[in-house]
Amino acid sequence: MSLDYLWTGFAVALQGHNLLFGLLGCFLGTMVGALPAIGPINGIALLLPLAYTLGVPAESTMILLAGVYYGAEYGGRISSILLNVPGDAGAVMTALDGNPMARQGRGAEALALSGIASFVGGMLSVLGLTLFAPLLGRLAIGFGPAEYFVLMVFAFATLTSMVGDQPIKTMIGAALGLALTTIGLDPTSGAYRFTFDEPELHDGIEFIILVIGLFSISEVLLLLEQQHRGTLQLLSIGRGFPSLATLRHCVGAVLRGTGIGFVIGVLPGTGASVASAVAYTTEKRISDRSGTFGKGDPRGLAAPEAANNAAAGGAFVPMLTLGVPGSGTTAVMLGALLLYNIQPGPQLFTERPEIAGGLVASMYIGNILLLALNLPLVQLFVRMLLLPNWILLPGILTLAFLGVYSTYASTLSIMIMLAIGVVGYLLRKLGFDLAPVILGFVLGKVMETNLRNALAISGGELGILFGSTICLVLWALAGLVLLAPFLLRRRAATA
Amino acid sequence: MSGPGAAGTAVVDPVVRAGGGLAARLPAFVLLLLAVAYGFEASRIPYAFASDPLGPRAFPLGLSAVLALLAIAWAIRPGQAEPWPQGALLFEVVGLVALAFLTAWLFDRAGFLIAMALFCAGVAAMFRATLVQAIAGGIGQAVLWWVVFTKGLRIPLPTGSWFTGS
Repeated sequence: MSLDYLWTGFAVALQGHNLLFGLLGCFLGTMVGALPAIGPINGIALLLPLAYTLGVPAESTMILLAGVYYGAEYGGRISSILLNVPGDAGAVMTALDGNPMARQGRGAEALALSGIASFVGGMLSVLGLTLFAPLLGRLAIGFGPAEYFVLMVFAFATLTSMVGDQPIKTMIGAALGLALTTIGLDPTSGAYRFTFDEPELHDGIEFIILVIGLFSISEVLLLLEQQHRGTLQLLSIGRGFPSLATLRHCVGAVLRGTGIGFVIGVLPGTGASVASAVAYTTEKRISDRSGTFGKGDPRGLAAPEAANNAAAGGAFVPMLTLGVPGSGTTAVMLGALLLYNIQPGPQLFTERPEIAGGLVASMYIGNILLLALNLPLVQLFVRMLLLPNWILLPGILTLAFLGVYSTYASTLSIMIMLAIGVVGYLLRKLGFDLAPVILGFVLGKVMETNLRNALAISGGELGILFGSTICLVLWALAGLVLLAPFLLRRRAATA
Repeated sequence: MSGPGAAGTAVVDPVVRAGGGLAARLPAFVLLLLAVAYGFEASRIPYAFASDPLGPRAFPLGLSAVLALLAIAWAIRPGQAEPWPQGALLFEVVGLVALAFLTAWLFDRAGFLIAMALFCAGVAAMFRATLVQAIAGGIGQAVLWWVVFTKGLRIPLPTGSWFTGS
């Protein structure tokens, strides 16, 4: 197996300006993760238009955004542990044992432990990504249009069965995202679809406008509601570092969390939030003999923290090799690649090694930077939790306006973004998760194109969708993941 | 997920409450209408030729059928939803949206500095800033981002057509 792409990547990632982009990304990501209001998607959505407008090259942009993604997984733990308010969805489980630890005056120990667990999870998963991605890439070379179409079906199936507890809403979200991609010029036939003679719609809905509107604007509206629920109490972090005994006590939890996180991250459509939840519940079942989980057990903190960082690495595997994102955040990064006219896939590793390799290499570097940033600078990030909403939220909204305006130079784009933001707010109030919408949106064009290409090859014969072993395996897997929750529930009910 | 129940009524599980009634199903019906309209529009997409057997209509048509089925499934089991904002809170949410649209409209007319200073001050006030904090914060943020973008990043921002006359 050739790892040439990785050496090319290190050469790219170690260039001075790319190191700076990586460092900047890690720093901003930790900030974004730590702030209770905004998670990794918001951070990436707000930075992407800037990088694009400023003409930052694609590989540097990806390094920057990956740093934000990784940094946010580190930063998310700070508000989870000290405020009991998760900075993002992947950090929900961190609060269960992290916050009790802080209440016992072991805040500093909890922060350091979660930093170390994140580091191990992140490093091992990047190692997995390094070895696994070219392998999967080789398998993907055998993929034709029919296989890609069925792969997308599989991605939506895993999404439906794993994300959220309301599968119908997950499916509706994905379908809405798919429907949005049909707006605009259809390149195959030259037909304008759903444009209503509006020139602004000829190119379809722009990705940046959709992401910023959907996530940033709706987030601010939700926060406006939440502030009525009273003020938050910041715990003091105290002093201390986990003892060697504690660290040794957590080794198993970290390794199990990493394994679970990586596998779940690799599955298309599922990311850090699912991974950390599964890791926590698994660890509780295995290790919680004396009932200490939920009361400040370090293992209950280490497992989900390792898992959410491992999932972040794993999610890049299908995104880079197959062009199918493993999570909502990687879906946004896929959108970023497409914005630069780069189509991910097996060829990415051979034809654009500076992008694939640069990204992977930057993750190794990023993890080390993050550990180095986080252990000494944690006080600085903690202080940011005290930044009042009346400064933070106008700033986020201003950045949202600026991101759209600097990319499209039109106030109509800003209005479209705001309208999408209102829709995003309504959907979230109705109990929808927004990640499926984004996933549907980035996969929609590819899904339709591959379906049409497949049927063009077969002359309209639907049999081609079941015509190869890969297709049949993917159909079977899709059926399995869809049925699994029902079967498990039945077993639990009869047991 | 839980909202305060109406005064005087027995304590009802908000999840169950959200699961019943026509109001909880209204969004599903709206989605159904949307799916039908989407399918109708898809069936009339004009095209002269297509190089593939499916053409530009088939995918959106199929999608509209899927969306319609999902909407019906949603109407049958509405599931959990959060309570809608009411009273003063509803007023604030609508106000923030209206202010944002107004700012977008003012953006190249009054220019970035004025539009954003007003916007940031307004949003700050909604997030419990005092009057002084809101005004100082609004002006401060507008100037800060103006300097960062036009001087630091060299991205031009509108100076306001009302003043430059263009």
